[in-house]
Amino acid sequence: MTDQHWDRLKELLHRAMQLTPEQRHPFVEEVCAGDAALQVELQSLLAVNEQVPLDFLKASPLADDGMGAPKDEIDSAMLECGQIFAQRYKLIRMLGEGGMGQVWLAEQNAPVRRQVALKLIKAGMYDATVVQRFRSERQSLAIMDHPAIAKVFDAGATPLGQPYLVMEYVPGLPITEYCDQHKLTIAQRLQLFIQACEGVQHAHQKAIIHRDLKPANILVIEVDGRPTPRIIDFGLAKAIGHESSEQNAFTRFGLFLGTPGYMSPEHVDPTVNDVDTRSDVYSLGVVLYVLLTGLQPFGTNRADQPVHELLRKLREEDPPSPSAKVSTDRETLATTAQARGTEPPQLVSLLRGDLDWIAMKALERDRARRYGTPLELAADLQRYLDHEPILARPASAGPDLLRRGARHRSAGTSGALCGDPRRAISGMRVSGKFEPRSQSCSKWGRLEGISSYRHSGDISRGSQRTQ
Amino acid sequence: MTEDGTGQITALLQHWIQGDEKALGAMVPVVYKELQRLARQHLQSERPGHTLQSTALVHEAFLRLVGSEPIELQNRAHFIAIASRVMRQILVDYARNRRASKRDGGHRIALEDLAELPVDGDAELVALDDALHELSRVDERQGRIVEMKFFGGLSAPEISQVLGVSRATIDRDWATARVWLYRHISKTALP
Repeated sequence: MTDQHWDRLKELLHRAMQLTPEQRHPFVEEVCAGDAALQVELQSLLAVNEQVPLDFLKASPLADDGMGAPKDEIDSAMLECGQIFAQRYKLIRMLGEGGMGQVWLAEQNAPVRRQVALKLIKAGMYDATVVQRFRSERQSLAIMDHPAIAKVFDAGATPLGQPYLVMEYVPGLPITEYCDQHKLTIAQRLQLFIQACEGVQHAHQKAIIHRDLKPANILVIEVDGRPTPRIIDFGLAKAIGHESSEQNAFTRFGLFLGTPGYMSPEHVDPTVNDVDTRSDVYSLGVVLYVLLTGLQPFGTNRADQPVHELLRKLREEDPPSPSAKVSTDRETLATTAQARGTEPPQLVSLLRGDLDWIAMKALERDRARRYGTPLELAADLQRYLDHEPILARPASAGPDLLRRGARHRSAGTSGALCGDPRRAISGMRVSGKFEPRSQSCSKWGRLEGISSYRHSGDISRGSQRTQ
Repeated sequence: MTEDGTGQITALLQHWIQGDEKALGAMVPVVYKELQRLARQHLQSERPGHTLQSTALVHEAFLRLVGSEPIELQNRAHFIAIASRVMRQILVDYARNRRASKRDGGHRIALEDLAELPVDGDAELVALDDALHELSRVDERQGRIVEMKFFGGLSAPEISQVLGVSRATIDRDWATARVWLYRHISKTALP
């Protein structure tokens, strides 16, 4: 008993309601394609839609204390396109839905008209303390002001206790995807990454740790035709997670907060309670690693690596250096090199040496040995780009060598001849091309990386200097 | 009032779910009486700060009529679907009466307390009821969705279960029904 005409009309109306105001007109023109009557009707319904009061049919005719159905999910029955959320944000369309909740593209009309991303935390993922934390986080998040950080406009909870976070809408791609799609070279990737590091540094200066840095949270948009990274979700992990002793990946529900591949060893260690800014440095190190190699440090080709196995590696093992990692699989190496506008041998030699050192220093298991800040990491990459000596390479290797040697001897790996025997060995084993070379200037090696010059054995060079 | 309904409802629900429309006809008066009785009872208890909850009433009616015997979740959703229709009738009846004249007696107390309406008054509730009748003529399913959601407080997943259509369809029907109803009400409503 459905009117055919209305059936079609409501379909079009619903699709149009999910578009932004700018997209609507072209859509109506297109779908009506010359049917003037249909177009008039659709436009008039869309005009009515603009006038529908916020709460029209939204509340039960009698006050509701929520004694009905248990609220075990965000009642998305309450959320739909066109609805106004928290008196200010008109929902345009859902951008995504995950374990944590939903993200909506919404339009704010007052005090300014703009599009925002509205994050709603799923019921069951929060309680009263989380709501409280959301409110208190608002202030600290609002003081961040950096081009590489998506602005947080508002954070709080509705009267019903639904926590929400309103941030700048960033219509970009994850940094790794963007770089691959645009075939950015290693140098171009590094420039983008350095900007991201600067953003994280800014947040750290405001005493805000991200805690869930990963490509999906470092989006790239084009500003005046130039790619620019923009980090989203600052402070979200903290707001959702639990204070004090529970500030790591495990919540009292035994749920895992964060993204295993990108989390620091201390973040996944239940005995470590003080995750600090250096945890973000580690995650940035993983992002850098993926930008360079296309793979996560402990990533395998088997998609089914159990999480506990990954976590164990994270705590107990050091990953292969980037140059060793890319060499492990011939097939992926070709694709990886292509996405970086280069050829496999050139990519390997480009990574070997300085970039290996820098990535490995960012990924130190012991946070005291990592770069102390994102800026230090960025500065070392800048030095690399400027052909200056990097800091990651042990310069006055005497005491450093002894310390490393001792550390690894005790761990059962010997070979104090190398600055970092463990890495040299793993590099050798995997690539089979380990050839210690006498002092070759990394600058030339890099410049000539495209040529047949083999800029190999860089990791061992630190040790040779020390001999 | 409940004694004739208890037990019987469970069987009727089963029949209705299996497609027997007559079972619905038999259930409605029972549910109606029970909801009305509960509403009065709550209003007379006059607990301070206590407002009447439609969902609570429906829930309570369900417990009284169906009892605490094990029952499939699906039955609960279906029961609430029926109760939504009944709640609509009760509320609209009250609203029409109130508009006709302010009468005294027990009714009046009830009416005062039932006045917490987001549609802002009886005229709107009556207009909504009329508009809903019209909408059901154009699109029966949309009419039912609005009824279950607005009068019964059923969530979209529950409605999807009762009607056996996808969640996306419920969302679309609900969103567009709001626009349709609003347009209809503003066209026909008082100046």
